[in-house]
Amino acid sequence: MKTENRCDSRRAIANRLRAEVERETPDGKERLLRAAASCAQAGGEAPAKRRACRPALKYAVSFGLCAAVLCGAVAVPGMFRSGRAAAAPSSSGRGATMAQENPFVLEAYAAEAESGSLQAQKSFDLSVGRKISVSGIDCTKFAGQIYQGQNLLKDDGNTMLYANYQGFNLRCAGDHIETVTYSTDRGGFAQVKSLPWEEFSRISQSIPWAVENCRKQYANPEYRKAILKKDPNYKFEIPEANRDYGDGRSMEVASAGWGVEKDHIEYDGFLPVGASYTLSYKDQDDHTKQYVWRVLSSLSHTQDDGIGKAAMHAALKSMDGAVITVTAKYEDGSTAAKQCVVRLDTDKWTLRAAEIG
Amino acid sequence: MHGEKAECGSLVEKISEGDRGALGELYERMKSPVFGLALAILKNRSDAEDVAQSAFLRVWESAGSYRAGTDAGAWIMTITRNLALDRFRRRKNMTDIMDMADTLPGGDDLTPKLDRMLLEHLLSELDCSERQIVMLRAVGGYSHGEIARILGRPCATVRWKYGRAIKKLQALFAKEEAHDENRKQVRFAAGNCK
Repeated sequence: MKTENRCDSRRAIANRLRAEVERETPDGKERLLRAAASCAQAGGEAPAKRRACRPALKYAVSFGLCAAVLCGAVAVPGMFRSGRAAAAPSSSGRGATMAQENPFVLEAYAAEAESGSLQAQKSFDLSVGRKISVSGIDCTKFAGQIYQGQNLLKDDGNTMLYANYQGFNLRCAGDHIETVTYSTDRGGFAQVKSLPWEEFSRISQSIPWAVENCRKQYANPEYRKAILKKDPNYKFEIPEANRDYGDGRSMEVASAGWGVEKDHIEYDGFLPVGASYTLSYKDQDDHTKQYVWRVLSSLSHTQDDGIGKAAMHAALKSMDGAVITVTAKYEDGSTAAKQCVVRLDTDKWTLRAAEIG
Repeated sequence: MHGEKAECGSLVEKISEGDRGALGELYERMKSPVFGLALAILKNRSDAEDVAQSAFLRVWESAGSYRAGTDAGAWIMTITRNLALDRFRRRKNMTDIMDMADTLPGGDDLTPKLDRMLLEHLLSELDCSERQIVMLRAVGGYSHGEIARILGRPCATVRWKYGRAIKKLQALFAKEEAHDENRKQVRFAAGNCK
């Protein structure tokens, strides 16, 4: 009888809640169908084959201003290439080198065309709040929304060490280029590695602070009692802490997100590779070979600014003034480089990058 | 529930063929659970509305990757959850989470006040995983096992958390009900004094 009453009461709560959520749910059907229609018009293909497009006007407005360009380059490959300053070539022989004859430009992967007026500004928002497309595949997570990739590496009770991952969606575009080297004078880069679920899970569960959380939860007698009541054979196994986590050499688990194929979740680890990395020119367009810019910042427990906010501000401040250099090596061995400096706007707490020289 | 699931699945299949009518029908069926789950994670009506729109648009775009015969509802809820978590991660360091009072429109006389309070309590008193579990169970009608699969948690944990969360809500609701009764009595007494 008592159980029945309890069930009825639970059901009543659930019913009231459902009724209230149904009342609160806005009717966005027309808006959705309009967006779907515009997607269909833009793609002209079956829904599954189309690339993702903006869901709503609000997104378009909020993200539209976020240029995905780091250094005064072009938004759509080749769109503004003519008339741009050539990258400084390194060799100065009598005959013109390939670097001199084929100046490269920096551009950003972008899912949408940019406004031409952005080119004139020569400095751009670094916080890419929208999708980018590599080889025609949407790679949201690689676009590096600046607030997204912040990971707690260590917490010794006094200070917390964060790794802030800034999506690095630059692309060097030009002819006769063999390899491209990206380097930074601050922090380093990490390669995005796709992990199988088992590996992601194993690493996630062995992060020291995750192990500590697990220990605390299992130590709660109420939790133990409730679990054992439902499942008497449940084993409370506390994983082993990974001592190498956050040492700058081992894999750091950073994110899980919807996969590029859109039918499964993908799990990524970030593997630090140092202050520079080189990849072949064509590998820039391989979505499985992506890198992020990684800067460490530490935060005191005594800061009263609210941990999340303080961590974000500390991370952004540490990125202010960093210089990123892109060097192209041509088929004849000549090289050319371009640089940009990252500046922090503390009014909006956004990073902007401007080409040097 | 099983018939409903099958219907959702066939709607998604129609969507994969470009049927916008099916998208509208799916929206009508799923809009509350989708909005509810997004609200549970984001605690902000406007963000939840955006995420709900994005989730349905994502369904429209990737319906071709849906595997016939699997639970289409759970697939959509997983999409919603991922989009909401993505939005939350982006937002959490930018602004403090707004109070529920700021995120829901002002109630009118027609809105049952106690139900509104219940939703406010859910958003303010429960932790994020409890909110998701309660929304999926109460609004989405999913079983503990299905919720466990959507959230990637052990079924026992889901069951335990749901029980604890509902217990909390029951206690808060009883309190509100008692207050409401008191207020009615005070009003009644004041009316008699006139």
